[in-house]
Amino acid sequence: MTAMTTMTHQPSMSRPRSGSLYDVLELILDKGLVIDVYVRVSLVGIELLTIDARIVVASVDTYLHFAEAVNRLDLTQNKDSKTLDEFIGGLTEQGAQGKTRGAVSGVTGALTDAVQKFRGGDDSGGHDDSEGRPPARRRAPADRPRRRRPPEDDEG
Amino acid sequence: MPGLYVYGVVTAGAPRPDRLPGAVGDHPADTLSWIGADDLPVAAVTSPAPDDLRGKRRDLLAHQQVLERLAEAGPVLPMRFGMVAADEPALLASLRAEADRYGRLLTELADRVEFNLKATPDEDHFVASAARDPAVQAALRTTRRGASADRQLQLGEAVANAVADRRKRVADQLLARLDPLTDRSATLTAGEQYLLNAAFLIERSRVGPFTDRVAELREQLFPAVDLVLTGPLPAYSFVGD
Repeated sequence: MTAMTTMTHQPSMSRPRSGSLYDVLELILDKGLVIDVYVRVSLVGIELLTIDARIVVASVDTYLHFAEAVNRLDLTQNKDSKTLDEFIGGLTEQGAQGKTRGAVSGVTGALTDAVQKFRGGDDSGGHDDSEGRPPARRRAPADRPRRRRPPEDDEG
Repeated sequence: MPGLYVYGVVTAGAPRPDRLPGAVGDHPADTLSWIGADDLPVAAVTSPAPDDLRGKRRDLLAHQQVLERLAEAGPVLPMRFGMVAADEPALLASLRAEADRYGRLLTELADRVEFNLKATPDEDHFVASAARDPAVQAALRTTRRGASADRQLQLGEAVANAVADRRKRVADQLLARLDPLTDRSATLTAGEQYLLNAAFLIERSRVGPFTDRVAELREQLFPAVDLVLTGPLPAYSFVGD
């Protein structure tokens, strides 16, 4: 075995070696063999190093944060983020790639339409107007599943 | 005499690494000593414990580097940082009490190394994907006109749920694709920062295929998810109960 290396691969920058300790800190401090009869030195102060830099916020704040995030979605990023959808769907699709994917997004589209109709009837007042001309930044996410449907996906 | 700092347990009589790094407490490498006995199949690697061992950066590094070097030479059971035995008799007594278990573990770990994989999600990509979730789309439509605080909260909750679902599915996928190449895996605390933080125990002969697989997965997922693989490491995550 060679000395420990932190391996990163293209296209990301490789991680500086000084980052190595950070990556193994939790292992050194929380894993490994413990012998009860041994004295373990006091580590007061050191635990702070392993605490996630991002504080876990209360759920209300989390929800507001996500609401804001989805409202200001830059829709031009749409293409990139589909790799995520494909990866998530990938496990069940490996046998019949395109076909399953098409079927799945078809179902999603149908569901979306159904939900849309249900919501449309459920909502009171002004709905038709907003269906006709919703604010652009919010219209696109709702429309996207229709665009994703086959046959466009499978034609190539 | 403040006691003996213990780095790990190795097989008795196993070859010692040539170039050893410095010990904890800024002690030179030649203060590292192997403590064992003729009737013991295992030995502990130690150095004099410094008076004020508190886990300074250089002490953590010394602990890690000594163990890395030991692991290059053969199987080692790494101690958690900060284990100090009162003296040599106390250390030998504890080795003797657990000799069978340590021996078994060392056999299990022979020719195996640990790798750590951390998967960091990019929030923008996850929110964009979540925006295609039917529940989120429904919530988006209801907030379209009147963005009351209540509706914003409902929307936020739908997005948070969809993001959480996607994080879990990516994590499950990663494990499913990597497990066939590993002996064992263990998930570690992931927190908010990582969607997956996992330890893998891997036979040395399969390290190549494993790192190749991680590289492939990284190609597929970057930049929606960044994968950072660290290793080979001493098997910290596979010596506990």
